[in-house]
Amino acid sequence: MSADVVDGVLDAVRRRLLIRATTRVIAIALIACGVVVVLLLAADGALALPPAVRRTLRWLPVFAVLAPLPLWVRVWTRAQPARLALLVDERAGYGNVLSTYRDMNARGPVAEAFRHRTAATLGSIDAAVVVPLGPDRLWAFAGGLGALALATVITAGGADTVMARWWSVAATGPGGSTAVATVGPEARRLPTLGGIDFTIQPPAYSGLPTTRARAGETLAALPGSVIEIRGSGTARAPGLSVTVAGREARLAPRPSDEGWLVTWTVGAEDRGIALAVMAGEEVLEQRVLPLRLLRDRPPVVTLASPVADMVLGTASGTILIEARVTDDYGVADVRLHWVLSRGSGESFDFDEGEWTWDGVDATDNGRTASLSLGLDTLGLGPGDLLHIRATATDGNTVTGPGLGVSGTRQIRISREDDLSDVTTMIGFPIEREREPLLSQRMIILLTEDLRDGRGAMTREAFLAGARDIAGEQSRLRGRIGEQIFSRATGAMQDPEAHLEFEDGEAEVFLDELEGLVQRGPVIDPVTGIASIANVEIAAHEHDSDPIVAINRTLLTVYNYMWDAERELRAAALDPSLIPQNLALDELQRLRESERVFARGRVTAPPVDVPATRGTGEVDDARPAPRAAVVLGERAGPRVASEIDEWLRADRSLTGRAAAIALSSLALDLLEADLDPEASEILARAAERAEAGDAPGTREGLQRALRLLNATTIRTSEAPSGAPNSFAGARYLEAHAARPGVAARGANGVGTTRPFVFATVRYQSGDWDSAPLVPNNLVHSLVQYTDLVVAPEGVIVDLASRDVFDFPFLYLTGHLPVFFDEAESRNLVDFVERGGFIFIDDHNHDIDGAFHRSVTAELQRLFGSDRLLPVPNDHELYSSFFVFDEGPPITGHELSGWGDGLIHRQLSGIEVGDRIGVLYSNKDYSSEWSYHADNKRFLAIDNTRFGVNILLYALTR
Amino acid sequence: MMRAALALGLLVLLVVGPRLGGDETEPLAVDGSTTEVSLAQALATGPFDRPTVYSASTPPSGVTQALLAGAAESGRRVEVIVPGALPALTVSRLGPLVARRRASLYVTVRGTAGARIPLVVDDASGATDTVTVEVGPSGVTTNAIAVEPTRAGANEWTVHAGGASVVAQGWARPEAPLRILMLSGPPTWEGRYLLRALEAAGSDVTVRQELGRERSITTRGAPATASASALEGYDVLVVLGPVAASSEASIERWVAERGGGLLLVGSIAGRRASAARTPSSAPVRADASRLRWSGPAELIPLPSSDLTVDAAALPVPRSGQRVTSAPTLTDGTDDVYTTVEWVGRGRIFTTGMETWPWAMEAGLGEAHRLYWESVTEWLGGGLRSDTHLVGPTVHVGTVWTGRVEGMMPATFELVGPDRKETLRPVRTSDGAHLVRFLPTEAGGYALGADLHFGAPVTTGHEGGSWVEAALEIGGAGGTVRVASAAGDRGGRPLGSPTPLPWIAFATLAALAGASWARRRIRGLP
Repeated sequence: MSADVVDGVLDAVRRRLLIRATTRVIAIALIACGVVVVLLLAADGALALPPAVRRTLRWLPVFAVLAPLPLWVRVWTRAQPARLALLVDERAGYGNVLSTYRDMNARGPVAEAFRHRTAATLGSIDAAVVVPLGPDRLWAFAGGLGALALATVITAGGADTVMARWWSVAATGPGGSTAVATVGPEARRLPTLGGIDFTIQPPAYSGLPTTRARAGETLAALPGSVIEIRGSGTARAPGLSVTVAGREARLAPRPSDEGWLVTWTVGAEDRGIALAVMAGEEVLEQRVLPLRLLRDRPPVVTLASPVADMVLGTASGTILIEARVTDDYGVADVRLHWVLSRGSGESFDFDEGEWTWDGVDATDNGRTASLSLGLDTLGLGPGDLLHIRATATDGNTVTGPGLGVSGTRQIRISREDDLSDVTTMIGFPIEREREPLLSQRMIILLTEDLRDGRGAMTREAFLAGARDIAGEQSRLRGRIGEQIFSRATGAMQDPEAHLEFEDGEAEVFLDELEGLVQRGPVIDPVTGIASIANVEIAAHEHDSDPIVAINRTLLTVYNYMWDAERELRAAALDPSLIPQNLALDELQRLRESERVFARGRVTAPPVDVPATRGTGEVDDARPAPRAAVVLGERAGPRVASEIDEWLRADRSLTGRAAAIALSSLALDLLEADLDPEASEILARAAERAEAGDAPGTREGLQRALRLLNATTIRTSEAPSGAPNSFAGARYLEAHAARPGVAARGANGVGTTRPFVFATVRYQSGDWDSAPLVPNNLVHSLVQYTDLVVAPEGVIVDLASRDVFDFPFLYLTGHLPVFFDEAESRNLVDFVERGGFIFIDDHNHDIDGAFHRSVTAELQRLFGSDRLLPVPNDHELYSSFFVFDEGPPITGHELSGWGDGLIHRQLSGIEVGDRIGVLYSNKDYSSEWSYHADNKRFLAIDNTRFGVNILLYALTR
Repeated sequence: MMRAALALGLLVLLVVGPRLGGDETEPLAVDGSTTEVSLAQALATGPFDRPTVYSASTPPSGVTQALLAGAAESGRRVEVIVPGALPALTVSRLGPLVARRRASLYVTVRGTAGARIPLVVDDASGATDTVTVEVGPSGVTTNAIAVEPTRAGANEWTVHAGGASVVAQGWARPEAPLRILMLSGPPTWEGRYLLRALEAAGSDVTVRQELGRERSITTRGAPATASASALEGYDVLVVLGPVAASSEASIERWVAERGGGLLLVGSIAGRRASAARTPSSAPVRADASRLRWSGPAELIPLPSSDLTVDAAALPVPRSGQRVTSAPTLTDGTDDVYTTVEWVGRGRIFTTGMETWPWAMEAGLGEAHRLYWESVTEWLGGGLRSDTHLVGPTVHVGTVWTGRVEGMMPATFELVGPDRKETLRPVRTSDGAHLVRFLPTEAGGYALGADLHFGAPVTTGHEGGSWVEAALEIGGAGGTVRVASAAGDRGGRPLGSPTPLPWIAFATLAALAGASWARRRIRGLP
């Protein structure tokens, strides 16, 4: 019986010992695991362990859990009865009775007594005393460490994130920078985007309905549209990242009944959106939705009435003003703007305001507005100039309002002697000449009056009248002769002198011209361009005498006038009217073509290029080195290379890893604002990769690659005898004698059009306020450089395609500038295509009409933030002469005329890294407005900065 | 008696001896064992009308091929006997490849005269394009196809035509911007827009624009003159306006001998002006919608546009032994505005037409950029490499042996359908360097030197040297015959192994010596 009791005691102790060992091992395992987890997360947080390291270290907690197991095994194997007996003896405090009892071999009464007493003792042994099982410090420590580990996990982004980051790490993307998730059994537990659809709510002003679409369909929206993107997946913030491509903005997704939801208000620069499920820095899933941004064009405004500019004899009566406006999404407002200018020369007063329309009516796609303008109420006087234009805004409250402007109509109240001009000018009245001429129209009217009144006149009076008219005709013919003489000979025309041809002088003049032709051409020693009497040989008119060619129209007019004059002197009025009318027609045509602006004003003669060449002092000219052009990263080729790598490499085109990598490429294209179509195709290829459609993915990649490479395989018949092998080329190499490749001889054949200084004529304002500037600058260019230069400038309409023939344009004026639609379009195209336009405020008044209007127009056309100051160390100031302190000060600035300010900087609009629009309000137009010959009276030529501007335009 | 016999023998030898050296009318036979020196000597000294026949199982070496082509071009009768039938489709390639820079494949298609055969070109990424070519009256058409290596290292294109497929491979150097030196006279709009296009294309452009009065606008480091040493650092030289006479010679050498590319804009080569016809120095207004483009496939023509541009007719330099030239742009009449030339190892592009209106007036800035980018890339494709590899067509299971000519890289990298490995050239006893490998699978093989080393060594495996030799020698005026049986020969090999006259002379001399000694021993006079 005693033996059973002993065994029972030992069994109980052993049981409790194993239980205790088990719980302690568990506690130790938890402590070890907690310590490892805390250390790993801390290390990852501090060092951002790479995926490969994490893949290895993630097993450490498992090992930590298993590490105490040997302890338990040790307890289990060593829990033998002898050891247990010793334990009981020790813990129960009975000495070694139990051990002695088990191993006792003695017999006899003492032994019996010992057994008896021990058996009694054994009954009182409590196994719980020998092996207590209650909680101890180890568990307390384990609990504390567990709390620390939990806090660490929460700090690291939560269990999901930590698990995803440590247990889902698998691969690296093709670019080497994007780590992506494995697709395996674990992936099913990861957060996902799920199916995506979206609702597009266009801005209210557009009146468009709300539309729905699913991912994969084209996403097109107006700026300001609110797009609600919904996903059915389990991803949630902060693991769900939503980024807008085109601006560095993140959107905040929020949970919804179906999954998640994000609201995106489309901005004007947005190019798409990228949705990504993140685990720390790892991308678990990514989708890119490229956006096709719809553009809301500004309203188109036309002035239906008056249809053209007007010159009124008196400021009385009523004028109908009617504007028509159309817009793609509706017109919000139509206004009628006016500017009244008074003055002349450099002195002008301006007033401006708006009139209220009599009525505004809605049409199918816009509005019409009309006003009957009573001139009597405006207080207009002779010489006043009224500018009228209609403006309209659309309802775009997002990127707008879009502003549309009509062309400007000018209404001028004529002065008493206006009609005596050679041609009646629409526009601001010019300064009067001292000896006004009768215009051809007036001479015709006089002739017709004389003819009609002949019956009531004596013969003498009739003949005297005819002679008087013939005299007027002669004077007018003389003016035309001056024009021809000035253009043909290059002689300086004295602005104060009035040359007239007397009878017979014209023939002498023509003989002189003939003589010039006979003497032959003058060859420019630098350019080799032949000129006869400084008149450039027009390439397209090389079949005719150059002087005749360039003056053909004027000579024709001259001849008609001569015929008319002869008939008038013979009192043959009807026969004289025929050439008179022909001359009038030619003058009108001349004015329209504006090649020669024959209206009696002072004009600058063509520059005598051969004589002027190289006469300028260039000691101070030190052109600065040309700045290297820095190109940004070319995302297109890089993405193309990566696509090519995907197609070539033996790499799976399906699965999440591929989908993430491909959508990253699509995002790169969007961010770089490159081919949106290629981006869209790539995004769809990513979706196909996600769906496991390898052929579809491959097809998409190939299409995108073809778009990005932008070159198609092209074939051509190989030229006969072309070397088609290495060996052939080597043969040529070995046996070629000197082939004679040197280029010399003709200079610039076919590709060296002379530089032509082009002055812009625009519809509003006084575009020709500085007629002497072009030739003065041309003269300087010839003086200081060897550039091939046309001896005189041209005038081009900003509204015509001709502006694109002249990559340098000069625009100036005093009066308000408003560009109509054609002018606006051409100006933007001109600048974007690499043209250079120099705009100078001739008015020079603070906040003057030109400055205010032209800067507003530039901001309207190019954006409010594009016109920026040009730094004074810009290469513009060192392209030939060096101007250390920026733009040189003008005389008007120093004299305090105008706004009394010295403007320290010019402004410019850059296209790429080059100036496309250079704007000055320093009034260089006044500074440089003098005859080039007078340059010799200046200590320092003040047009040198003009040379810099021209050379900058020509070389950058 | 003996003396008489010897005298008679010498007399006979004198008369018959020269005939023992071979018949002068017999074809001069050349094969793989013929040394290049002996061939050059034979061509230089032998009768001009003596036909020359190359027949061997291996194609001629580069020098032999060049000598034969030169002989054919100079009017000799040269015949090349090609073993087997000429393939219906062959593809060859000229010039080194650079990643992302356009190059040409020359595709020769044989078929029924007048047949229109679709030509399909695949690159390794699967991008496919198709063009249709028309076989000429001779039953052959050769077309150039522009391709673009998409990456450094081995690139591969597969050309399909008429049921045949050929894989062409090439080794592309790493992508690098073209190094362009632009020397310009006074600035012009053409120069300004050209410069902008080249910079936008990513080229590394160094500029010197002369303004006159000894003033110029330059990029830092721009050379003052186009000296030989200055040009070494550039791939393409752009000249707008006249060239200093002192630079002519160095530019000539740089193009012809160093493989440089020369772009002449608005200039006419003075010496060539009289070559074909008198140039029209007066520019005319050309209707851009009537322009007709041709020339190298790499060129991307300017699109047809409703423009009128200034242009001057250029003389077309006469093609010949020294220069191969072709008009590239005409206006539908006889006037030529742009020409291309292959001069020695280099290339020249001459244009007399302004192009900036495409960018400015027509608003086709991107097309304008692409045009100039393609022109300069073509110019940059001259043979600047000093290392070439020639060898026969690759056959599976047969060891391929190629001969390395020129500078010797330490190793070559072989990329094939089955493996990638490094090869070391083997030096033979005669000083030649050979590279060998055993192709084990059908497909394209490319050999290149170490990419980082940068030595551009290339070879295509299909349409190998036989086709090149046939094209070149045939194109130079020789005839190409397909051998009916292996070993078909046209005559006795050059350099007969049995010099019979010398043997006869030595025999007679020995007999004379023996006779003299015998007489001396016997004491006879």
